[in-house]
Amino acid sequence: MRGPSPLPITPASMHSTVEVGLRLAATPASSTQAVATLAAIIAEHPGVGIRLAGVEPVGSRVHFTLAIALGCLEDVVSAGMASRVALTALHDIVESLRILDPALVAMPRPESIEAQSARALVARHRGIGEAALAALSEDLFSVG
Amino acid sequence: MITVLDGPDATPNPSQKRDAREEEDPRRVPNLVIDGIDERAILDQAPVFLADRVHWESPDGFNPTRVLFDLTMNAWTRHWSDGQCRVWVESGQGHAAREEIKRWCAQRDIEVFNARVEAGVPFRDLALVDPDLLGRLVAAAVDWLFPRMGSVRRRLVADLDLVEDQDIRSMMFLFVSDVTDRYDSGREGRLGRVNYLAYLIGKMRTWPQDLARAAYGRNAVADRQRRIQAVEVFAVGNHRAPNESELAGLLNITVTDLRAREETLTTLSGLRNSAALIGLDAEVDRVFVADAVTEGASLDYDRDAVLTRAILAAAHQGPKGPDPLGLASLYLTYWEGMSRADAARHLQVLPKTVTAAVTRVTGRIDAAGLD
Repeated sequence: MRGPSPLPITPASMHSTVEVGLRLAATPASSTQAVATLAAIIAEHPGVGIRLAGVEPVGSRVHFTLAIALGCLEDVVSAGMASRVALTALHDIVESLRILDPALVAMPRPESIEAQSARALVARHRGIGEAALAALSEDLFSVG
Repeated sequence: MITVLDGPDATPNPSQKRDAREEEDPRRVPNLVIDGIDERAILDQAPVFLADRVHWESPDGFNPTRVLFDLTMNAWTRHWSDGQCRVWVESGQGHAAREEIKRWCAQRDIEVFNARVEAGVPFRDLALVDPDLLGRLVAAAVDWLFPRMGSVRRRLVADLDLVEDQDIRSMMFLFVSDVTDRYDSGREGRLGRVNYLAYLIGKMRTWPQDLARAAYGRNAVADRQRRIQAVEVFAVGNHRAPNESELAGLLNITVTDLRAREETLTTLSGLRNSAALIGLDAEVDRVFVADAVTEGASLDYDRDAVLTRAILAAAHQGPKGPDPLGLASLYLTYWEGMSRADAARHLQVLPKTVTAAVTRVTGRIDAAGLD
């Protein structure tokens, strides 16, 4: 039995956002180039909501979980233009960042260490790129 | 005394002429013909009559044939795929038969649960029908019904977490075989005599509900229905979903009870959601299990990534362009661990829409590239 639902959307509102979780598994060797590519893709798709939802060191890698918004419920259901653009951005990220083994994952629960780390990093750095780079340095391990 | 409802027709008569006219009506479903023998002639080998049915549950696969010989009235039994015990007796003798059955079972220490009597039901003793012809008649009916019962199949898959589309044909065979003993071939409908296929189509309408009750138990299905209604009513008034304690209050149960009931349904859903997505080997199953389950397990980065790319390519390159609903449905179902009914509620669409969206995307996945 899973714990409290980590549902990425709020029911009963057509304006709720549908988000999917995408895990990027960075190694020290792949990190700099990958973060630059990610930042470029985000800049190319300014209308797509992408946030850092989780950061977690696992073995020799650091897992970043991105929450990528597919759009509001209405748009997703009707395959509106914004949702199509978001899906294209997600597709681009997955294709461009093969070096980070991108994989769909469940969204981290808000109370998890992974999610708390991400929130702390994002609060201290501007944008996902900087936060991700910080996560790869010792900065990650100083996050409460 | 047996009231025969529908006897064999040995010679042409006005009724047969009327049948011929009815069968030309394009609105009617066809009569089935096996080896040149019309369905009516096959089923007439066991004339239908009015009976009382005694119906109960016994543990350990008790065979009701054992009790038949000791009953003081004529009685028939037939095995149904649901495993419940059924004995038919002549009309008017159902209650007496129930008492005799309960007494007989009590003397032998055989438990009888929930014995009830259904009076005046049509019944035909299918043991009298040539088994080969009967089997082929049922198979022909399933062949005709299966491609035409798309909505029933979709409901079964959408509403029943443990049922997959590939299971439905064999389930349909058992269902048709079960309900054939109560087919009243003399019954009249708006378009004339209700033939075998028309009767089966009518029975199929309630089949998903019957199966849901059998799968989850009557109470679980009722619980789920009440829960859905309570959430909808609350959402209309408050523009949000109720939290756990509000929902428990609406259902007039404790939060503990609510959690226990939801756990039952979630467990059943989990069995389905951990199944392979597109018939991949068992090793791939774990890719679809949510992270709570795989915590601590070694991660197969490469396989996860290949699968993700295949799914995104399928969702991105649909015949009508990107398919966000397809990806959202698949994601909620497989990664967030929701049943299709739950995913449908969250996306505010019908369960069949989620099922169709998932099928659409998974159908486009290039499975060859995943090996």
